[in-house]
Amino acid sequence: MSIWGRRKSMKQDCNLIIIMSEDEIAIEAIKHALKALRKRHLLEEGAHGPAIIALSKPIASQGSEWKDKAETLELELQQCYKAQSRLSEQLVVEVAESRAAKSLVQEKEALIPNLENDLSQARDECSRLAALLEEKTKGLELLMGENKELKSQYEEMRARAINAETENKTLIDRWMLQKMQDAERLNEANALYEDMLGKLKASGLEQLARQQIDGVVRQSEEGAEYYVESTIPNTCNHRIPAHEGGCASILFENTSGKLLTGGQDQTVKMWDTTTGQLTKTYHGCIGSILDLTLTNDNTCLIAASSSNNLYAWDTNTGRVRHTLTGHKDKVCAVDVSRFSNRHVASSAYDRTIKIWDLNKGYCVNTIIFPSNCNTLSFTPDGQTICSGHMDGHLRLWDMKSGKLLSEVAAHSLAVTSISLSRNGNTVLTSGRDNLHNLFDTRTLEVMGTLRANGNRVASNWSRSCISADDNYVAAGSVDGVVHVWSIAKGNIVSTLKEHTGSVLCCSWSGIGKPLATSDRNGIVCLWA
Amino acid sequence: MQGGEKEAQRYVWDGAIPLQVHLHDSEVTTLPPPPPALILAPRIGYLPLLSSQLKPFFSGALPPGVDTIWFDYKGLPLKWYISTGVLFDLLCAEPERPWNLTVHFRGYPGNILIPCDGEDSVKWSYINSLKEAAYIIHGSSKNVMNMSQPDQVELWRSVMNGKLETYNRISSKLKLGIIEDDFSDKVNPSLKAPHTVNETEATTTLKTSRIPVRLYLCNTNQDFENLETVPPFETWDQISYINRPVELNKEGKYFTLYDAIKSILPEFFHPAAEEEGKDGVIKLVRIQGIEPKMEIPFSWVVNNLMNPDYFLHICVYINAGRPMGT
Amino acid sequence: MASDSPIASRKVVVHLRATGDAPILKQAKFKIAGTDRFSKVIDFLCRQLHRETLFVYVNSAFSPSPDELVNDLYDNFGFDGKLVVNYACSMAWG
Repeated sequence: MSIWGRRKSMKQDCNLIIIMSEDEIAIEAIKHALKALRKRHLLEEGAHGPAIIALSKPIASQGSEWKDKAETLELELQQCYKAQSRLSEQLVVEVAESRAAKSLVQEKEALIPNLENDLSQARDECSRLAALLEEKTKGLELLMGENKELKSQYEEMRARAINAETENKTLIDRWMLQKMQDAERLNEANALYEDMLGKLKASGLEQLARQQIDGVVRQSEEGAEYYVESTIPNTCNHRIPAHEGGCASILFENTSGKLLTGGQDQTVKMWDTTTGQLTKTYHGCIGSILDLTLTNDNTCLIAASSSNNLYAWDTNTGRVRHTLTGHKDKVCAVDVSRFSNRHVASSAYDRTIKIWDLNKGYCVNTIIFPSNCNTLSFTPDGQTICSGHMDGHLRLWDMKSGKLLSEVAAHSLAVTSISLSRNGNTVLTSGRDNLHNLFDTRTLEVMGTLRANGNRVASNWSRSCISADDNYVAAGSVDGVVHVWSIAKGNIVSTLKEHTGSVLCCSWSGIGKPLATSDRNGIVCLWA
Repeated sequence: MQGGEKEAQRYVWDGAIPLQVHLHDSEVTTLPPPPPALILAPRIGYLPLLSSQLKPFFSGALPPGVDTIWFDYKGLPLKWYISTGVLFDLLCAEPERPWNLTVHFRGYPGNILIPCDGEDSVKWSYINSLKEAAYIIHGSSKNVMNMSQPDQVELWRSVMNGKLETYNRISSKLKLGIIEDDFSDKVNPSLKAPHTVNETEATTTLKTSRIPVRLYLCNTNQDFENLETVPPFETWDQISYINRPVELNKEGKYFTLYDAIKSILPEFFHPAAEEEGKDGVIKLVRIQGIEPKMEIPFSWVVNNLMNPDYFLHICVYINAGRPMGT
Repeated sequence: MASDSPIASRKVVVHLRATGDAPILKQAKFKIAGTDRFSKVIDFLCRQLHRETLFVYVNSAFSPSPDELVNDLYDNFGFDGKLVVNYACSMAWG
């Protein structure tokens, strides 16, 4: 039946049953629809659902079920594996532990006999110690007894000591009393002693006064003029450009600080050595001055000149008193007798030594000798002339007779300088062998030889000198250095460096200082 | 529709068609071929959603390649965006239980079917359908578009898994309740005190609205006496797809299914037409697997038998002599 | 009988509007037979824009089923004498 048909019939129904309301029709239709739905449900899902579910379960979910099962089993297996591994780990640990425990046990077992041994030893020791203890207790008891005894003894002793102390006290008191008495007695003795000492001092003063007076007298008695002490020169006080062309000769005034210098410039100059000032000039000499000498009273000055002459000035007036002629060659040395003040000796390069009389004004004696004399000097007594020669010999002549008294080979080369000590017992010779010898004038024995490294004699007329107190020797050198030796010790005590040219002449002041030196450049240095 | 589910709605949601699914011969690579899969397909569900159940079942027998599932019934590829229940009602004039379908995993007929990317495509199609319904009811789709993402997802889940309670809870937020319907209460007086007729009429008439209806019109082309004799469809062209809302504004008149269909297909209700054929043109009206009486109140039908996309799907068989539509 | 009705033979104006990054068509309005299915509109757009897939919406709201008749869509959703169809290359209105 088609819808259409139904509709028609429905319409007919409506016509037939007019009373049926629309609501009722609607409800009827809805109920029909619900019924249809129920039927449909029964036919479709209701009928097939369970079967399909039952069928699909093994198909659809069996796989997943098995998978689940497999997964759970796998999980279980894994857990089992894990548990096993854990157990095996534990087992390993426990085995290790048991092994360790076993070794420990073995160790302990090994230890047991040791310990037993120790124990028995300890027991022995113990019993030994117990025995010892007993012994000791016995000893102690004994000692206690002894101690008791000693204690009683000690008590006794103490009592005795107390007694002794009291006794001692009384004794000290008595001793102190005695001591006081002694002190009183000692004081008395002291007073007595002081008294006597005062007396003694008074007498001592008197004696001292007498002694002092004695000393003054004695010092003035012993040769006052020799008592000048020379100082060791080491500083250059003055450096005087004295002469042009060199200064070959210098000389101090006797017992004064004034210095006379003679040079190439044909003048003799006088200097105040304290100030270094020129005080006087002596003119009149022709030719360079090779040597100077002065009479003992300082009144007459004689110079040896290269012009074959000697010139004698009056020192006060400054005039030439005498011109001593007679030498055939340059006069290289001159000296005047301090004894007579009138006899002059000179030597020249004409192989002669001439003796002149100042009072007469001419030559009184001539000594001819084959070897030229470079230097000469009177002995203090004025009777003997010492001369140094080119052949190196030191000769002694009798002034009056002109006879050779004695000679000695003083140097291997020419003697350049002779210098006598103040007392005349020693002569200093310098030679071109660069030695400075000291001779005893009486025996002509060498007393000493002075030398120095670098000390070389400058010329045939280089002059060395002895200090006023006969203690030192000064000698110049080619290199400008002046050496000072101690005669007594023979060593160099001072090395003076100021000159730039060869040092020609050294002269020591008769009053101890200064030392004067001159060189080829005409410079004069004053040393103190 | 205060809360609780009604019996009819329960049937609609629980409704499931027993399927016997065969793997297409061309895709069988095993010997013997795999047995057909027996499966219950929810009426409000869609065929591609069965993929998760069918794929493991047939995967062993499939040749290598990329799977894209589709189904055919007697050679006709099935449109995946039509719910399974509608397809069944539409294509099996005489219900076939279990319904024998053929499943394909290869050779998607892109010229006939729009492409389907699995569940996402189905969801997209469902939501669009819902939006269309909302647009018809309210004149805009805002309510659906403004739905929060979690709500949307949950709504879809409820449809997919047949969870009516969840569906009712979330869909009530959309305010798409169409019409008051008192007939349910009248059928089941025990549930609620019966209303007076006046009240009923007052409430029924209060809501004037358009009901989204999808009407599937099958022109059988030839006269047939028995539904069993209806030949299978060879092409979708034989089925017209009519989307015309039903205006429910008939001045409080008792509006029946008959009235509704008449408003959609007025051409079959010409007085002339009515008189023309002895048996009439409309052979069958089927909703949710049942053939309700034409006098049934349309409001009840809408409220109880609509699909979750708020559309009422009606299958109509006619015999008009020649195809409709195209 | 039904085929004679004016509704069946009428033409519907479809206004095509680009959305998002979709290219704009030179011609935005087309006439289409009301008895055509919506899939024809989709195919037409795909051809015009040379794209495999497009998202096509009605009234910036929803994508109708491609089986729906243009007539029905126009009746339900058209206004001002035309049916507004939006198209986009990516999903525009979830």
